[in-house]
Amino acid sequence: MRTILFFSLTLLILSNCTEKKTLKILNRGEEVNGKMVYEKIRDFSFTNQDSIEVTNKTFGGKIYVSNNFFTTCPSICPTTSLHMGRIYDRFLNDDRVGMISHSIDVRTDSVPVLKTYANGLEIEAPKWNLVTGNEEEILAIAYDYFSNALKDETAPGGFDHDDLFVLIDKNRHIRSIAHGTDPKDVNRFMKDMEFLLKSEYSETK
Amino acid sequence: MRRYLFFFGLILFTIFTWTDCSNSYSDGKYLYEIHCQSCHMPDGIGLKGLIPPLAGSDYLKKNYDKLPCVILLGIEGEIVVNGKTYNQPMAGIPELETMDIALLINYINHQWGNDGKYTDFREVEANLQKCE
Repeated sequence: MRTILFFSLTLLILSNCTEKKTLKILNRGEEVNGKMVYEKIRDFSFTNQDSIEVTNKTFGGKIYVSNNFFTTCPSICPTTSLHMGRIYDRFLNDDRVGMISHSIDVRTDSVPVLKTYANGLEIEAPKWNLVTGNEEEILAIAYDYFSNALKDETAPGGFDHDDLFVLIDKNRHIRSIAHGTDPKDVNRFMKDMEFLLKSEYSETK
Repeated sequence: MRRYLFFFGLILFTIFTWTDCSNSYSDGKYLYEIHCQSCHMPDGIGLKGLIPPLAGSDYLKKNYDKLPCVILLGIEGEIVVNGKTYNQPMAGIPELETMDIALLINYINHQWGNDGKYTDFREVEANLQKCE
């Protein structure tokens, strides 16, 4: 009797846990005519390591991961690149997932420089896009991704930016955030990605 | 009571000597974490084809005399580590003192299965004279 009670209790707790998992939209929302309307990632157009234009349409119907970096960044970038690389390896063959890394040092990081960096990282577009573009637009869009990217001559490498990885759903909304220098946080982030894939594609799969 | 105190003291003594032994390069570890780890990674594996590994690196042995200059002033251009070519400039750490460099080299040379030489202040100072 006792064991049955114990098992049913455990089951109850477990089922509760699995049902509870949701990924809320993290953007600021407002109720308009009884419906929630959330802020979303603005329109953008950048150029990747293969000189190919990358826009919102590139990620149409996909979920994608975004972060900021620059190739000569001496502080956190190699570590974030390592962990972005783990995400790349894990979702390499899943076409529902895209990746974009914005170089915030557009003067140094031309397309050929990005290409060399991509080769060094042993990664390829269109899965993982290392992009450059209009400096103002690149620094401005960081705001949409809840990230900081600022010119700062006192910072190592001349730019101040954070280590955030941001997960965007099919509707340009932010669903998960991780610190890209923290391996455990990135593990959790990848689980969130799996979860989002399941919930976003549940109608088709 | 005295007996308990004795055992307690013995345990404390063991713990202290133990941690002391296993961290004989702890000063270098601290410097490594501040200055090197974000690129060469906590386990010294580097980053794919961009940043060469320190763990099991043949470069450390072949260029032993050059290490102080590389750490202090950085390095540019192609280098070959374990048969693989790397070409990403590394920034130096100009604020390091000679003793810091010795501690760093000793740490790196005895981590992750590395079995390099043990250097000291004088040797590092002599090698720093040869920087280009």
